[in-house]
Amino acid sequence: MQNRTQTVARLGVLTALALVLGWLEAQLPALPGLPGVKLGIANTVLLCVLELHGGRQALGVMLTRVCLAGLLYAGFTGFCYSLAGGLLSLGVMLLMRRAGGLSLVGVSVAGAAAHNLGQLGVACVWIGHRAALAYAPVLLIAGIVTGAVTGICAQLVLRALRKGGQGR
Amino acid sequence: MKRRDIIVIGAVLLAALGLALLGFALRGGGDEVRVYLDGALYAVLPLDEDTALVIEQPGGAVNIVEVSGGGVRMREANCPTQTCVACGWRYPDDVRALPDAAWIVCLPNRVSVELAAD
Repeated sequence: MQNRTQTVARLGVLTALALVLGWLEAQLPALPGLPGVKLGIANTVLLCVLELHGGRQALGVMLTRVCLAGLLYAGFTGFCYSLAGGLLSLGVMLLMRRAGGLSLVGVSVAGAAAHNLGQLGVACVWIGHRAALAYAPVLLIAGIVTGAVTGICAQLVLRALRKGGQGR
Repeated sequence: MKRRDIIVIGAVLLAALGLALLGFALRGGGDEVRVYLDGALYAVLPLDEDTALVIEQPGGAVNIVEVSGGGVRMREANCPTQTCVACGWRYPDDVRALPDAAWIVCLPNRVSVELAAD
């Protein structure tokens, strides 16, 4: 049983880590021909929080990260995209975890697909639904790839943490 | 990886495939260029007439849509990403091959260009 202070400190560090990873990723050039497609490596952190702490803590980390990223580098537009993607993604990941029978990879793939659809939903408001719909298949398939990669990363991190006696 | 992971991946793939088929089915008719601002139709340009449409918005956003030689491109945009300009020229044949090629989108300036092809 961890005490409260320990938990708050650990979640703070993990939020900072997610924030830095998101910033690093934002510095990378966009993939040519695939605008909006990115790895979403910060989701690895969120998956670990989900596994080690739970849904409420993951929601807290996600909301804090999205707000800080909006203030620091993403801007208002980026904030709207991240919030829509983050909420939908976390909601779907929680449901998938509750449904059971999935490894972290499956949870992550579902989350990534939901994240991309959430962002597309915001784009619908700004550019119209027909343009967004035309791009949806690309983003869904991208979600499978990026979700699998971040899910495998999270699995490896958790395995290492448990070996070191850090993960519960 | 478990069996249900494969099911999740399969379901997302299926959804993508379904939407892609829908995209093919909904490809627009006629050879014209439709320009949208904030998702609302702003201008329609015939594809067989060479023109350049300058769109200046109150917030300072400027985009130039160019129609020439039966194709369309975003010639200029003062957005930070330049994703729309990088799309280059789009022709009706591109759209027949891939439905999402019908769109050139400048997300920061909220301008989208649709090449409606037969």
